[in-house]
Amino acid sequence: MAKSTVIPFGPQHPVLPEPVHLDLVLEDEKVVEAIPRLGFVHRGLEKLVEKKDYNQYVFITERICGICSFGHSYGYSQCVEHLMDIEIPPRAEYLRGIWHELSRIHSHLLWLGLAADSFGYENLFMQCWKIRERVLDIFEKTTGGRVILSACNVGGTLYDISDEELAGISNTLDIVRDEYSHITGAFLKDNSVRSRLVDVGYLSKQQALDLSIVGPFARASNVNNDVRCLGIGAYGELAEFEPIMSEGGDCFARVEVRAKEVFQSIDIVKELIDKIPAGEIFVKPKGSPAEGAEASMRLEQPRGECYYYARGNGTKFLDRFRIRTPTSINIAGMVTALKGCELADVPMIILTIDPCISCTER
Amino acid sequence: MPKYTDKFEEIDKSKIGEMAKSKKDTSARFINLHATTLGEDLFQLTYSFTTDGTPTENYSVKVTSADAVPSISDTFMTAFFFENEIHDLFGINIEGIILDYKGDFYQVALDRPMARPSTDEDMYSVNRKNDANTPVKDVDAVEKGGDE
Amino acid sequence: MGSFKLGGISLKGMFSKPATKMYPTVVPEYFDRTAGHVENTDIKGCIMCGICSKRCPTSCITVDKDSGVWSINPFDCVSCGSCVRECPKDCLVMFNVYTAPATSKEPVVVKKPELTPEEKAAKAKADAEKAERIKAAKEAAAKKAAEKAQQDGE
Repeated sequence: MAKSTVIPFGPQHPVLPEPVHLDLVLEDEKVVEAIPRLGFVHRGLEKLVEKKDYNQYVFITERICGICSFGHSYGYSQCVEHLMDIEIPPRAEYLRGIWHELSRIHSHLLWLGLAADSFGYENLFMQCWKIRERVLDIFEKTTGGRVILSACNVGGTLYDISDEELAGISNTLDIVRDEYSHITGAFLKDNSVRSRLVDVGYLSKQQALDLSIVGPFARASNVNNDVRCLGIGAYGELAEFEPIMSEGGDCFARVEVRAKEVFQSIDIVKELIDKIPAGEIFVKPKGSPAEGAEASMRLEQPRGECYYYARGNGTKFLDRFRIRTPTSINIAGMVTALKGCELADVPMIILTIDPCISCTER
Repeated sequence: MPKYTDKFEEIDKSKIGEMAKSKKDTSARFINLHATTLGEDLFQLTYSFTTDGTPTENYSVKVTSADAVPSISDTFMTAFFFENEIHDLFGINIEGIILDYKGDFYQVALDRPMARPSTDEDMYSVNRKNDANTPVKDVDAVEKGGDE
Repeated sequence: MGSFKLGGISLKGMFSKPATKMYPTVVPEYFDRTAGHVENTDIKGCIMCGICSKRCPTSCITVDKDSGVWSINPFDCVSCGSCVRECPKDCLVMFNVYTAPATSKEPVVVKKPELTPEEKAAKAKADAEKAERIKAAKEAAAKKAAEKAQQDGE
């Protein structure tokens, strides 16, 4: 008869970027069930809406997470502009799109480095982060911050990028693409890496639809729910956009989807730089949100689809602001993918959903 | 740039199960469930769904803390996360969650923190549920108990 | 398929300069826009309106109009730049050097300087002229109201 043991995993673990706790129920090295536990980073940020008015709150939304920082300020600004019926100038939409796609490049490079570290390939980890430094230098040159940008606010963007700087960004991205293409060979074609990733943590398409998962986690199981296809903001101006999908459903497919999305984002940034119109970048918002007005908005962050909801009450403080981050929905998918795997594969599967626990438990 | 429109609709509390089943039949995707405090003991739950490529559909339900709200985690499994969160932060009773933490999901220090506006008293008073900062009164008794 | 896909880069890396810099021996070069710390560079021109204090998201600026004191707590500041943008007299400047580490969190205080005797005389003259103008405007308004009341009475 097989013996059942319970092994606690986390909250401190070398492979986890952020603290999450799982109780793994094992039978002789195979995981039968995994029960998650959260709450280590809960800061009560949704309650701060009572104290900070809608112009100051954008600096709080930036600091929810270090990796998806620009995405949250972008989503917040879009949602409150929708609530107050503010129309922002087109140049601001393009600038926000450029920063957001650069944010996606830096987030995927960070994640690829962590994935390499989790299966023991530290040299690859360092090479990925070395390339990421070029993107962070672009951020610092144009906005003043490497990770927390403070570039977006209700009504537009706060900094402008001149034409020489845009040409400089385009050249830097060519160098990034060149250096990065040497590294993708190590992820996608190396024998020892493939033996850790192929056929591990399989999730079928029907399971992915039942569990409503989002982001590259879902696109690797051939389920497309990319919000960029809806064409909101600067994404409506692209000539064409096809999300990258894969049919594998295992960890290798998820690594492949994210590795290829970096190339796609580089192309999107270069296209937006070519098409950017001249004009203003900021419209000062007047007044306050109306009483009882509600608005909701969705945005495609590096980890998946993020949903924002805002409600006004006639004063300059919002009544309620809600952020539903992609990892909150993907946790159920992670728990399902862990069933039936070996104990040594658990860190790899948890990392492939790209957990961002500080976003989940604001 | 196309303007993004989302829909808001108000439904009654008894129709929650019916709405969830009809969304599952049309293979819609579950997006979000959250609560808003509208008044002294009045909350509004908002369920959001979408069918591929369409704007979000938000359904709002008005409840009080005495109502027993049926859970939708039997139809949409991922909702267990949000229902536990609502129970911890707002104090609304939701029945039948498939993975129920019974109030221990976030381990918040105050009772139902988001159901009321915050006061200075909250920081410094006895309202705190489990205060890890209170020093242990009788250190010797604890040490002796541990040895045995 | 195969192994050692990173062999080329690793071998080259053994013979080239390291990618990191020896901080703090090597002084870092920051970009022009780097958000370091905020200082009030023109305390004489500051009108003590307090807008910077109201817009600050972390409430790290305190402005005292009566005593002419402006202070900022550099360890609470998050370098968002709101105060620099909102100042009507452009007194606040964001420098691109970060706040140095310290062993205690002290606020940085600047006080308005004492006025020289010529400036005091000029200020007294300007105040007197302003009081005269206000008095003349009030008398004109009162006269107009009295005339209007007389017309309505007829």
